[in-house]
Amino acid sequence: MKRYVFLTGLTVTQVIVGELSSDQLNIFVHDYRRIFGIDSSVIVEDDRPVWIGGSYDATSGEFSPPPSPEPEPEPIVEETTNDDAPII
Amino acid sequence: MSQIGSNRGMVSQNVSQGLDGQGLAIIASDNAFGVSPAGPALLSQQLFGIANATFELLPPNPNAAISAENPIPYWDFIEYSNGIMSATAVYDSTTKTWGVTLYPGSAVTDDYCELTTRSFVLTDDNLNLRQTALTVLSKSGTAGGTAAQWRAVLSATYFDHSGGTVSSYSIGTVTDVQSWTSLSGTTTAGGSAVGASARYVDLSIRITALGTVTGTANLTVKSALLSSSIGASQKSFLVTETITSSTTWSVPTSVTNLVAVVGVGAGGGGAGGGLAATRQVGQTRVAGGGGGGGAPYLIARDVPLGTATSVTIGIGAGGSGGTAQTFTKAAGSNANAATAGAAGSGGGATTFGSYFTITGGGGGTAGAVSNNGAACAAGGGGTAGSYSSDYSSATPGTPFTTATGGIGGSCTTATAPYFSEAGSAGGYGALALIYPYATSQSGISGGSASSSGTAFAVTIGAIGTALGSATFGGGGGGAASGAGTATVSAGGGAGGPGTPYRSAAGGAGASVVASLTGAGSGSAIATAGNGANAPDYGGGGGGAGGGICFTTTSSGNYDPRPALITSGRGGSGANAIIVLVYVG
Repeated sequence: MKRYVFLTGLTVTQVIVGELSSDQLNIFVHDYRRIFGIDSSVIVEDDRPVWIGGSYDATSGEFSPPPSPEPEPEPIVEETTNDDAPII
Repeated sequence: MSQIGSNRGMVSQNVSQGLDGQGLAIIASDNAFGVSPAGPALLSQQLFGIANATFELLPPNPNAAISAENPIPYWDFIEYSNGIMSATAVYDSTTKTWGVTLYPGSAVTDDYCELTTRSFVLTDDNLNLRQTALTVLSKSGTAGGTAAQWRAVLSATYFDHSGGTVSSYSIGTVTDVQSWTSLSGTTTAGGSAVGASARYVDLSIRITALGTVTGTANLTVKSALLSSSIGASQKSFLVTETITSSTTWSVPTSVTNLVAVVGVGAGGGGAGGGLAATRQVGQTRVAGGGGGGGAPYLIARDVPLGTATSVTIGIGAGGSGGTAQTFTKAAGSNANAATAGAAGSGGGATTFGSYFTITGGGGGTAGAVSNNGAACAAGGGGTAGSYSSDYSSATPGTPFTTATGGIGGSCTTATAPYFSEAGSAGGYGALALIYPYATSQSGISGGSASSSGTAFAVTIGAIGTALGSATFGGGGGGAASGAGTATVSAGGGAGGPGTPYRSAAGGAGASVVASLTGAGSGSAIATAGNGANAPDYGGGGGGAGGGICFTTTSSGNYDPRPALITSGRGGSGANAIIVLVYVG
């Protein structure tokens, strides 16, 4: 089934599955404008990830996840000298 | 003259001769165990109000078009299309049932064909006899465009003893551009009483061309039922419709309220597994990611539809699982990596008009990773789904019940007063800790509604297997490899799936630890298990993908080797479902 992604600006607000006709999709856009405040929709026909709260790039058609809430630890860059550390 | 009841021989003789035009018994004379006293036609009439309700009585030539010369018993077929429209008996080998398919062909405007059966009624002016008809339909082929090219109308016409029309009513209509599985409703306007003079009713399905038909869509009548009731407020059928694809649902004729609407929300996606690689012995850490949050189910009772003719039904999409991470190291490189997994996505909301919204479970968040030995916190499970409704405040009591969705790996049971069940959560991603030279590694089973899974040991070098159980998806087994100088390959088992329509979560993918013990130059390929997708319609979240660690027992063993290591992707959450219950 297709996924219908509803956007508020370029932010993904709602995602449903189905096979809607254009008339049916228009009805959903109308209803969801009132319920979720959406203003447009995008149809996704493959299985690429779509993140609610994430963003949509209208130029590339790509979806991006929302920002990570916590920074990731930095990898170390300098070598240590524990090559011969005891086996755990 | 002998009369029935006065002469057993006469009764037996005459009854045994009660055969229809094809030689099938109307009444069976055999009274052995397991034999119905009624033949198939009479049995169908008795049970469903129509003599050949399921079309198991076939035309003389079942493979030929139905016509006056090849009639289907107890039904009449006519066409006014210069032979363009037709009907044939069809057999469904899957369900092992018969039906009659009506083919519009390339009919032009106002052409029509009609399949009619007749049932007899007994009533008077005090009975308040009312009837409800149901036809089970299926559609095949495709419409010729977005504008309807034909419509099908189920109608009931009552006649008196002399053939005069008592009443006629169109029960329901479908068109070739819609999706449908049935037509049903009362046989009189507003479910009013059948006229006292009625003696029989013709139940017809007519297809009428609205233009030149170019599509291939056709309609199969699988069965037709007619039910009677007496009294002022009774109806006949309790109808259920299962909706798994978003649609604009057409309210059946005469249906003004729903007995219940049941919705199960969409689950969240599990986090993808993290990835860590370094030549520093014992320094890689990848914490498990969170599973997708579960979604609740909700029951709304006695939902008034008023004069609404359609309701938008949005089926929430299960959240996407977090993507996998990949690290490629060239031979001779001492590059390292510490990449957290990607978060899963929340499930979409499930909506029934403006009556209610069931928000989907949240996506799991990724666990932290490090390649410097720092402790890492596990990723959080997706938040529980919830619901909101404009309707609950308008009705006394608590028409809605719901349950708190699970949080990744540790769902708690809700305490709603009734009809409640906790949504299940995706399993935790497995925790991957590097213990070079160890003889076993720990894996973890999948999450459930009440547990994050159970740790278990796996043997180095073994590839984990899915541990799915009947209800909740089990996690994949962990894997580790401690090969020496040769190519190293280790893969974690994927999470096991749960059971559809159950509150089931996807299992977590297994972690993998690849530890190279020798100084050779063989390549290292290690892949962690993917989180399992939660089966649809259970409200479950997807399992987290397994994390992966890559290191060696000596920095000198690390650099020469090319390596391709990949963490597991998170599983997707379950798609949602809505079930409608109404008296049709």
